[in-house]
Amino acid sequence: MAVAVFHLQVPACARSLRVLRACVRSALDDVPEREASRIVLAVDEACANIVKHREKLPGRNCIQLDVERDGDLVRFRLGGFCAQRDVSHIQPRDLADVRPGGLGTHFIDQIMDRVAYEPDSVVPGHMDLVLEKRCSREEAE
Amino acid sequence: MARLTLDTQDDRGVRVLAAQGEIDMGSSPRFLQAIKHGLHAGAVVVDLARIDYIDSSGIAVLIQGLKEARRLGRQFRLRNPSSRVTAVLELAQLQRLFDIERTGANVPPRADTDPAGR
Repeated sequence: MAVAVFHLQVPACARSLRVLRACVRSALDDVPEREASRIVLAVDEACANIVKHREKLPGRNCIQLDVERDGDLVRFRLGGFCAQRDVSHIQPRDLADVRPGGLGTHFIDQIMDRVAYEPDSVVPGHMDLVLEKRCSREEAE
Repeated sequence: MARLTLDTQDDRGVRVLAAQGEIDMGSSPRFLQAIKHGLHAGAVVVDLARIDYIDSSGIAVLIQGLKEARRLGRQFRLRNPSSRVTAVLELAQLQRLFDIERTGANVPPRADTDPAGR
């Protein structure tokens, strides 16, 4: 059964990202450090995308993050991530093309087991980003 | 977790830019500015031993620094990237793109970093 770990709503600005990273890391305190660091990076990249593209969604001035745990599965839901029409434009870039930009989506795809866009339950035409990862756990001493 | 601090030292035409803390989309513009400023004076070595976190915007800055260095005909090297920086460079499949030096002597022991990357 899925258990809500936390819900966080912070301003969609670069300064919020440190807070988000700390909260995500705290939700992964039983996950090995290397794996937890990668998951924090993936969620941070998704949140950074909201900050970068916030002007594309009228009225979006915050990041809403819900975290759930279901056994070894951890699920992150970013509310109102993008407009439905923009989903098809979100692609990882070709890594052979060495240039700044486009790496964040590649990181998310590489790190997470499932990356999905689901209709926002609040705002029609907006999509939530759902990230899932099955985690190994550190043995308790 | 610490914000980004940048310490610069000039040594015989080489600017050593020692970065400490976190490089993310909030701090990467300042990081880029420091690298570009250094490259206009000469070669740049970016010491990444004390970086706790780097995201894609930080990696993008390193790519931009490398491209700027090539344009200006300068040397651009990374020094002692921390295990977390190395992990992100590997994720981006860019570790071979950069000239990376590992001096060892300047890498302080860190309580929260496992050299094995666990």
